[in-house]
Amino acid sequence: MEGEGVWGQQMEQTEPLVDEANRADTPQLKEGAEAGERKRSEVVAAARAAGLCVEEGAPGTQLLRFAHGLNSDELRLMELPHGVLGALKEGERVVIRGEQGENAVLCTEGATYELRTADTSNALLLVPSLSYSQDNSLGEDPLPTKGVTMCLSNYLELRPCRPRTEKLRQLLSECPYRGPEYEEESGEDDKDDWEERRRTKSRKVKIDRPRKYMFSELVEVVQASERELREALQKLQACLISGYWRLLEADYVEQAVQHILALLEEKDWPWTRVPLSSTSHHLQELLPRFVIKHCLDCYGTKISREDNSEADTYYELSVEKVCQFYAVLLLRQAGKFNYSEFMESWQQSVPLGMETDLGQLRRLALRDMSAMPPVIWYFPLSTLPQEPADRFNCLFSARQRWTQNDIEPYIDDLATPTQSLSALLLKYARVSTVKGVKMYNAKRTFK
Amino acid sequence: VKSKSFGFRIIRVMVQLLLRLSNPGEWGLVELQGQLETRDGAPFDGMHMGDLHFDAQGTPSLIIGHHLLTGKVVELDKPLAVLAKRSSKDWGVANNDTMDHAGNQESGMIEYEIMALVRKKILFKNRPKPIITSTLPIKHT
Repeated sequence: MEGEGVWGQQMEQTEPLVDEANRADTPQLKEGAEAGERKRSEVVAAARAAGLCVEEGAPGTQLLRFAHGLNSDELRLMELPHGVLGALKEGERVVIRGEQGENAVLCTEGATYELRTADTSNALLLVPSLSYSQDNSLGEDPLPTKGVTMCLSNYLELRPCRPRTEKLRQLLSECPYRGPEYEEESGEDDKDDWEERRRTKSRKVKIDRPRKYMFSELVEVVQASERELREALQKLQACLISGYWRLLEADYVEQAVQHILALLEEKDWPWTRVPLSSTSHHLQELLPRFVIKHCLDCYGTKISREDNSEADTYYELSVEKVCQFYAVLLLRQAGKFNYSEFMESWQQSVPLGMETDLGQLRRLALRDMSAMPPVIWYFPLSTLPQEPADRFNCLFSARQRWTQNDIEPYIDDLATPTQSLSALLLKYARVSTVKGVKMYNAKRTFK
Repeated sequence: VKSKSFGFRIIRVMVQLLLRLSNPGEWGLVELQGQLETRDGAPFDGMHMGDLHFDAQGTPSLIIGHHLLTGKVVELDKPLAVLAKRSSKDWGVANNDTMDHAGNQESGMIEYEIMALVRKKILFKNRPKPIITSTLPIKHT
């Protein structure tokens, strides 16, 4: 919708025959044009003078006039991508969310779009009852007049984008759950803070002590659709405790999982069929039931039975997740591990019947097989920055050169509908070929 | 037991604008290159803008003052929504601090109604041609 203003240029080339009254810097609306209707004959004559073939009946003619109170209604134009129009028609809740100094986003119930103002150098005239061709409404007497209600030079653009959920981890880390003995009865105060803000219509909430958040509050602070927010909470393995979304402290979860696995071994219960209630019962001195359930949900899947005849709920633990758990347990303790020693310890630590596999370490650890001896170390995706530029910086600091296979797991969460994986690599990395293998390194060198 | 010293932070709660789609009509759009001006910057309100003619093939021509513009009708890739700001009064709901999931206005929420959709436009991007007249125009008073 962009273009140059050509009015000024045009007028400099005006024919000398053009009447004085016509010479101006820009095409101008006729003086006194407000005075009454224009006669059809006048309009037809003007059209013919311009070289148009217009019949006496003027079936394809309409007069455009600026409405009284032009631009008085604050109307905005906004481009609607397919998904947004669809969502609106389905009656979904569509909300624009923004903070000062940040780009606003538009959220349907399931997707997020970046909102930008597209400035054009053109005049966009809104004519509600405009006809787009010769039609029956035209050719009347007097000639139909259509009002121009708005004259705009910009419109709002929507582009699909990743939900901005980085803040979520930070917010939920303020007050992680560490066990019932550490919980305070501070819930009511927190709620008042938020309500107070609502009453005073302030945009700011002062947080001067660790705070817990409810879903409705997170929605107001995180730029994401509700569905994406729920997905992010699930990915973070957050837990809904008494109406608040909480992260469980890492050490606490570690201990809980270890208690559960130790119990399984002690009782000789198969990890393919872990009984929730029995486990809770045996561990009741140590862990609340909801923590056990949360761990089982995170590290396994509920086994559903059609007849619901079982007295207890059973879970099958996931080989991948339990092996990853033990890998992290080992790797978190030290810097760099001797690779072969690690692989051996790792296999020995997992429950009988589970097989460890290098593939399970995707997004968790990096190896250097060319070192003497080969080493492996903890390098989790979850601790890396979300912004592509920062992410690539981090990756290249950790390791100068990457194969496609190695780097992909650490960047595939950055891909968006508008920016593919290969586009990201093109933008942030330099490709080279070493011994026939494609390698990626930083575009700029680091210290 | 408070674990560590906390200091304090300010959290900014976002402005939220709710969009509503009532029964939108379809409005028209005319796009002109550059900007329109009036002599001496007089207000546009109520002023005649131009004559829009369609020929039998559907080609639009616009006469503004003594200039002729030729354009075309273009279908928009993405429709445009016309948004109008609305206050709670317009929806017939009292402006109270109550959350109501029945779809009424929530406090802290500004609402925009989508009044209309624009699916097509008439685009004039060719250079305007001056219309040569051999007689002096009659000035209106």
